[in-house]
Amino acid sequence: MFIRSALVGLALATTATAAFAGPSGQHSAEASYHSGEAASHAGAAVASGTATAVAVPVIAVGSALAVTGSVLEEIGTSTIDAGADLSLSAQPHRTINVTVKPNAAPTLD
Amino acid sequence: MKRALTLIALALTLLLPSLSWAGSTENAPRVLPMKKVAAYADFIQRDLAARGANVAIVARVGRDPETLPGGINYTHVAYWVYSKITRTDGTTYNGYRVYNLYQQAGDPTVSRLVQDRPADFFAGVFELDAGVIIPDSRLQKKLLKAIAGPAYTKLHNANYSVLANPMTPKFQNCTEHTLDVLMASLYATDNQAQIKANINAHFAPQPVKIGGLKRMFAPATSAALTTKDHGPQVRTATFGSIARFMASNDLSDQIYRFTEYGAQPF
Repeated sequence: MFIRSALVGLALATTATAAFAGPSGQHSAEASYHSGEAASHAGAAVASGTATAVAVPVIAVGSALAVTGSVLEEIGTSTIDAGADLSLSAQPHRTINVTVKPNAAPTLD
Repeated sequence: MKRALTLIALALTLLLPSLSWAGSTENAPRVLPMKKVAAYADFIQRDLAARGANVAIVARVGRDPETLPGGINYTHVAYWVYSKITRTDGTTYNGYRVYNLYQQAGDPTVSRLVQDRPADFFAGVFELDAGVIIPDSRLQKKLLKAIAGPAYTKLHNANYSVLANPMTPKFQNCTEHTLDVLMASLYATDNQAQIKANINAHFAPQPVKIGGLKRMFAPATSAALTTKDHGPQVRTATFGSIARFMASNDLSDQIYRFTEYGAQPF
């Protein structure tokens, strides 16, 4: 009885772990609606394979904006969206002590 | 010995359902039809554009809300930036790019910064329900500067923890990185120590109720569930806690939910 309970418990825990972690590929074949673009941005290093495009933020705060692209338009027209890694080589930060005096509460005025 | 093992098994069994809420996975299993998700992604993009949002903070529901701890409604948060995008064939369009911090495939304890599209962002959601914060237009300008500059990547800590403590720089998750970039924008600094000092002084993270046994055994099931950067109480940055911080300091223009039926108040 004990062994059975322990095994069931461990099996359930293992299953839950898998659900948390998820699969490892970025997008499976079912995500074929994605365009083949992969963007770089503001000079940041990008590793995106052969499908490379550019996304530049539009600085027009306060004015009317319009979306001219549509994901639906591109369903089935391409095979991958590799994403754009902006910091593949980011190094884990070293722990530092927070001994700095804080600023005043944030304000935009 | 038997008792101890039974206890461990029981603890592991009970462990994850309430802790599996916050993974920043970029490739969660599909739950909803892709066409429906893509249409929703377009819908929210057009709505954001109609509101004149150059930068927004958007959150998604990656898990069954019934399994999320109290006070937590969303599982992944990212900046959406209105951009002119050039396709590989040279054609261009205007739309939003999503600036994500995702767990690394194959190693959930390591993260990376990834740009993708709104449809990618929502690809694995459990339901079509997004939390949206449109910052004050003055703050949007500051955020654009930080996201387009070195601060965005400089503030990335690749040590990932689902329940990262935003008060310390030891670990980071998607929401904490969002918060760090927000603070960098507000105070025009990319000094991590200064940013953490300001978070400690002015930001109230979401307490997460987690039992002692669950907390003790969590890292045994996944190293990304560590809480060793916390004291007795576990507190983490969430979409809700960022929304409260921004609202209470007059930093936001609009905060709302966006479902397949459109915008709704919280």
